[in-house]
Amino acid sequence: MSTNSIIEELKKNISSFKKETAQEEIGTVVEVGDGIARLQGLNNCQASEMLEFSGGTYGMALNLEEETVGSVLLGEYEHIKEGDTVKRTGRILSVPVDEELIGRVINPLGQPIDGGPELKIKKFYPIEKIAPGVITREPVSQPVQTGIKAIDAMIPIGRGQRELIIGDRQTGKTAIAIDTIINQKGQNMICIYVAIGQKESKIAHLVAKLKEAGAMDYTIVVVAGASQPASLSYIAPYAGVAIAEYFMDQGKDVLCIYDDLSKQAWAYREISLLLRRPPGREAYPGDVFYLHSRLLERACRRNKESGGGSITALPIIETQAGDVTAYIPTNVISITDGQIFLETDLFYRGIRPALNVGISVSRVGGAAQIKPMKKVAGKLKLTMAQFRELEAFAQFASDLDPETKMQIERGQRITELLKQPQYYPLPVEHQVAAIFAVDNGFFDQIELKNISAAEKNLIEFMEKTKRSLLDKIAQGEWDDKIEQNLKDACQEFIKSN
Amino acid sequence: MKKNTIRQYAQSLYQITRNAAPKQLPEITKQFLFLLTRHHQLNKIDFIIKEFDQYAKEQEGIQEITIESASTINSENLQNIKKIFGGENTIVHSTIKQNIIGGMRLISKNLIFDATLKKQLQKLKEHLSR
Repeated sequence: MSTNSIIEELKKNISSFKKETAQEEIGTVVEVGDGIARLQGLNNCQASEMLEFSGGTYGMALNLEEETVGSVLLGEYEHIKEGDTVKRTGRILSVPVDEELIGRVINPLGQPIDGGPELKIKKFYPIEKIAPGVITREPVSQPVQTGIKAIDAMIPIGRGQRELIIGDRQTGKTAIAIDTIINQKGQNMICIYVAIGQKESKIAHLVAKLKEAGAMDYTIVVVAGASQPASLSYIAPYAGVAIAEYFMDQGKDVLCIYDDLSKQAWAYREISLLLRRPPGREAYPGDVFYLHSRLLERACRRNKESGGGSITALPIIETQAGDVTAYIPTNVISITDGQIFLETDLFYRGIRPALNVGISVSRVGGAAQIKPMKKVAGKLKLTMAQFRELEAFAQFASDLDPETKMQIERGQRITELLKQPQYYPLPVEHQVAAIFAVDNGFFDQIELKNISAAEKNLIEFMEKTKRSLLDKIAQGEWDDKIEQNLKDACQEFIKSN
Repeated sequence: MKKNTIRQYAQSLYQITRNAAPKQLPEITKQFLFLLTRHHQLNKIDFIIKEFDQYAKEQEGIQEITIESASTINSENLQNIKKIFGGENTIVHSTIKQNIIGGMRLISKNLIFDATLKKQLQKLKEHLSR
């Protein structure tokens, strides 16, 4: 580029610049502390409007009162003093949205925090938006394959569903979410992982794992770390879903994971109490239900006339000592379309994922399961239910009738099969083959401790010799002939071993 | 009972003192302070005084503006600005701020009219980086 062309371009750019006097509305800080500020003079301020404080710190107006405006500060606030000037921006709090975000780690304001290049995004989406209405929606009909046998078989998740992952600390909630993200490779899905109030070391580890698995090619990580102000934890899930809505508007399917909403509720409680909103049960403000319902309602599957696309939400809730009857867990359970319940007991008994299949449910996911999985898993659910009834009698094994004994042994084998290591999601066809084999008694002669090895060998065997059959299953085909072929393949495998 | 607002206190103080004789003023002030104490609002006295000042000026048609400029403004320009804001009833506070580079900034009540070179350059920077 010659000097002249540079000058020409600059001239062109400058000539399109309109010089005008800026008119700004200002207010004064009357109180500041603990991440909130009370302001006077902002007469025309809107709810959720972005406010500019001195030193470039932004805030969001939350309480519009008779004389003052209560606002949360979205960043450093040590330099803000009483009497400082605050400017209205006229913009409702929004996040930048673009394809450029994919593969990046950002904060809830859309600024990259991964040390990568700066983002030059011109498009913004408001973080608060009313969820799509009834007319634009469509029932859940396509599956989200998590790659976890127990979930895909018994608690299936569909695109556009909201499935809660609930459990105590250290029960593998995040592991399920991460495995699900890893398994979305090649599934035409964009994943958004929103980390709320988590340790930065955990997030760094998690991002490294996602990179290692090649999952960052379709994933965006939104981070509001434990050291950041509560206001960022509060807005993080909304920022995540706003980005998800941008992709949904282009007809894409998005998976949004909120890890976890209990911490968001804590952050909101902190902000509300500081803003002197009246506390209710467990000191949460009265609108804490709406906090989560308006977020999760934005997950949906839109019909073709409205542009298609979907947002699947996997909110995570951490319980204290297994108490699911606490305020926030019951709220979120009632909002979502089912829950995956993880238990500490199961976790320490070596059943991982520590899923309690008895009380975990998926209210709408069944419609989204592929046909082979539906056929195979229907029987599996029944067998497992019978096993749970009889499990208590397992210690009297020698005194039991052969039928009961068989049911207990089958149940134990299924439980063993449903164990799955972390970062090891299985394709759906492999899951169908393994579940079919154990449910039809092909693994009955194999010792309990050898079940997982037998499963591995079966999959290897099927991959080597029956790839065409697996392809048919993966495409959702299922008829008597395929079932017979699968049976024959299992028999062939058992004989060869 | 609903709490009174700062503006309401300021308004009532203004209404009482407007036509009062100078001799009565100390007693009115004293009674007003007792009232605030009874209402547990004494901690808001600073804001009430500020509001009273603003309200009184509003009622008497007095406009107060602050002009920030990079260099001294000549009297002709000052008169022009006064005319725009309400003529002779306008009180102008003028300050020199070197960091705005050029032009001026007018602050009136809750509004800022920013015509400084600094702001224009900021805007140009935003425009060029798009």
